[in-house]
This record gives sequence, structure tokens and C-alpha cells, in this order.
Amino acid sequence: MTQLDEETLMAYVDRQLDSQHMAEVEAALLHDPEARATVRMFQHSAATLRGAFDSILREPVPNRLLAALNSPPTGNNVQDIRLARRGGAARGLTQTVWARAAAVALLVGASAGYLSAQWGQTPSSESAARIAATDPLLNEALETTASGAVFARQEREGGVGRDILPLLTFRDAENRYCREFESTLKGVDKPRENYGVACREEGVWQPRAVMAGSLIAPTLGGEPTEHSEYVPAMGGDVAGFDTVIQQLMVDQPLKPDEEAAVIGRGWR
Amino acid sequence: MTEPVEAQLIALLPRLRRFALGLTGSRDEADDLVQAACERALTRLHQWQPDTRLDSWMFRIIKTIWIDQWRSDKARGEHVDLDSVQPPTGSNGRHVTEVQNTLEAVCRAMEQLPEDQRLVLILVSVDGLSYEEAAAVLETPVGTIMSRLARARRRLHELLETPSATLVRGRH
Repeated sequence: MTQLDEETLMAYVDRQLDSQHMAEVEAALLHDPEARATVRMFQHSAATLRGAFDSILREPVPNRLLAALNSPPTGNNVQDIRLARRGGAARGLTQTVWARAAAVALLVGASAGYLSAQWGQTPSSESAARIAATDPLLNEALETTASGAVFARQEREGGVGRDILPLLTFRDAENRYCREFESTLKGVDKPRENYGVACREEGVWQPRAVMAGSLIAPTLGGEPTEHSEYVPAMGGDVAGFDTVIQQLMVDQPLKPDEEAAVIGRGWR
Repeated sequence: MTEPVEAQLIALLPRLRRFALGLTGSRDEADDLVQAACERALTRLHQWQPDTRLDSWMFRIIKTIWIDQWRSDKARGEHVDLDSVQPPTGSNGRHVTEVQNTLEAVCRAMEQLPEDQRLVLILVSVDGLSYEEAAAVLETPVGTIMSRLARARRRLHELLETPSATLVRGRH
């Protein structure tokens, strides 16, 4: 005999029992007027609730809710922030870079592995350590430069120059500071740009992910025409890069004043 | 392949408003709640896994904001007053009024329920989720969902069928 407790009767009314159980309850109800009254109560409460609230579904949705979804809050969107900072500071950088051509020099060799690292070939921890050891410029740039400002260095007289543009600062789940950056090597046969994320661990900015700029630069803005041979078949790499950032990022990117404060404190 | 998430969210808005109205009992508060939830969702889209249900995720966000709000209001000792539930526009004035009375009465009665019962009641009896789906949204075992729902329905029935109970407890 099926036990006609209140929850079973409710599940019967809500059609949440399997068919065999439904049939058993139905049979048992025939001999149980009190249970039938409980069933009616549950049916009535369900009908009342649905009827009372259904009018809401037919109402026009207030404009302010539509507006909230149509215009995502600026200042929170990683893409917007990045584009704004790149647009402001890096325009000159990306455009003049493409016009130059010069001999390959020291810096390229030193950071070749770093520059060519792409998705699917994430540097091992060993190479990450090597990168940090061989990339003091990146470390200095991320340590001292506000997002949207260019950190520029000329390596040897008449030789290779490098511009580093921090784009975004945020914290990861371990409460470390992390920064997205763009790095451009100038004065080589072909200017090389790459993008990366580095997090500050024990006082050193360790690259977490680095991607050759040729894969994503056209989509990130600027879009130098000389670069068209590199235009990727799909925009997927940009999404991939953002995914990495969003997986690392906890909460929102730091606002400019917050970032300035933490740079002033030496990232403590 | 799929619609942009913003478009999916817009399509969900009527259900989200209904859910929020059931929680707050006030249209203005409900829309504030939905708006806050949409804004929060947009900044955390990366946390939503596209192979999971967007409606469940939104319900959870609304629930979280509402409970935080509710607790902080309670901690401040503020009474969350019921706004008048404004009549929807409709051609049949009399029918609209009747519907309105039911809605208002139901909202008043639901305010008497503990928050956890109210949540289950709206998810299952208003929105039509299965017990399992409601359990997933609320991260609560199905058995708990069922006992809360049964108690909520019983209590609601008592409140609505004994008008004096509603009147006496309706407004403070």
C-alpha cells in the first residue's frame, strides 16, 4: 500500500512521480477522502499561484531592464578597457612600428622562445623561470608603468627598441596581482608584437600566458595593413586570450586610481 | 549556433521579473532586483558555463542578491514595506482588478513565509521547475525542497482561505 503522506500527495499533484507511483497513488486515493482533500488543497494552491503571477509574463518589460542588458556597464568590460587603453597610448606605437626595418639584434635572440610562445605551447615552468630571468625589461615595465602608458627602452645604440604597454591590472584567485600587457620589439626585420599575462610572484612578474601578437593584433584594434598576411582565419584566438584572462581574474580590473596606489606601494 | 547571452537574458526577463516579484512582493523592488542581477551577470559572464542553464544561473544570482539585501535590511532593523502592487494595464477593467486582487493577496501571503519556503514555492509552483531543477538552483537536496514546498503550500492555503489571517498579518 502506497503511503499517502503529504509530500507524496503534493508530488502526485505536481506530476513529479514516475508513472507507476502515480497509478498507485491514484488507486489509494479512492479509499481515502482525507487524502483527496489534501490533493485538492495542493491543486488549488498551485492553480492560485500560477494564475496570480502569470499576468506578469504578459506585461511589457520596463525599459530600464532592457537598457541594463543592451548597454553593458563600461568600465567593467575587459575588452572595452583594453581597447580604450590601446587606443589612447598605443596608436602611435603600432603605426610607426610597422614602417621600420633594421638588423636583427641581441634582444631577439635572448627572448626568442618567449616571443614565439603561442597557445598550445605554453611555456613549461622551467622556461617560465628562464623568461623571467631573461626579461628584466618586462619586469621593470610591469612594476612601474600604469596601464595605458608606454614603457619604452632602446637596447643598444641604433639597435633594437622595445615598447611595453600594460593594459589591465587585476587580482587572481591567490590574491596575486596580474597584468595583461602588449610588448613590441622594434627595429628588427619585422616588428614583433606579442600579448601576455604576467602575475607577480615573490616580487617578480612571471609570464603566465604569452601569445604572438600576429595572431590577434588585427582584431584587437589598430589593424595595420602591412600586417594583413597574418590575419587569422578566425577570431577564435582573441576569445581564447580573453578566456585565459577571465579565468585568472577575480572580481573587476583595478581602476586607474587603485592601480596608481598599488604601484606607489610597490605592489604590496 | 546560439543566441548571444544578452539576447537570451532579454528573453528571460519576464520570468526573472516574476521570480523577483514573488520574492519581494513589490514591483519596484522586483525590478531593482532584476536589474542588479542583470548587471552582475554581465560582469560575470565568464563564470557561467554555456552548457548549463542560463535561467538557473540567473535565479541563483537573484536569490543571492535578495538574501544579502534581506539580511542586511533585517540587521538594520528596517521593515521592508510593501509597495502597492500596481494594476497591470488591460482592457477589461474588472477582470484586471480581480487578477490584481489575487496577485496582491498572494504576495501578502507569501511575505508571511520564511525565505527558503518562498524561494521553492516560486521556483516550482510559479515558474514550473521540477523538484530536481529547483534543488539544483537552490543547491539543496530534493527531500528538503519537497518538505519546504509542502509546508509553504499548506501555509499559503491557510492564509488565503482565512482572509482575516491575511488582513491581520498583512501590514504592520
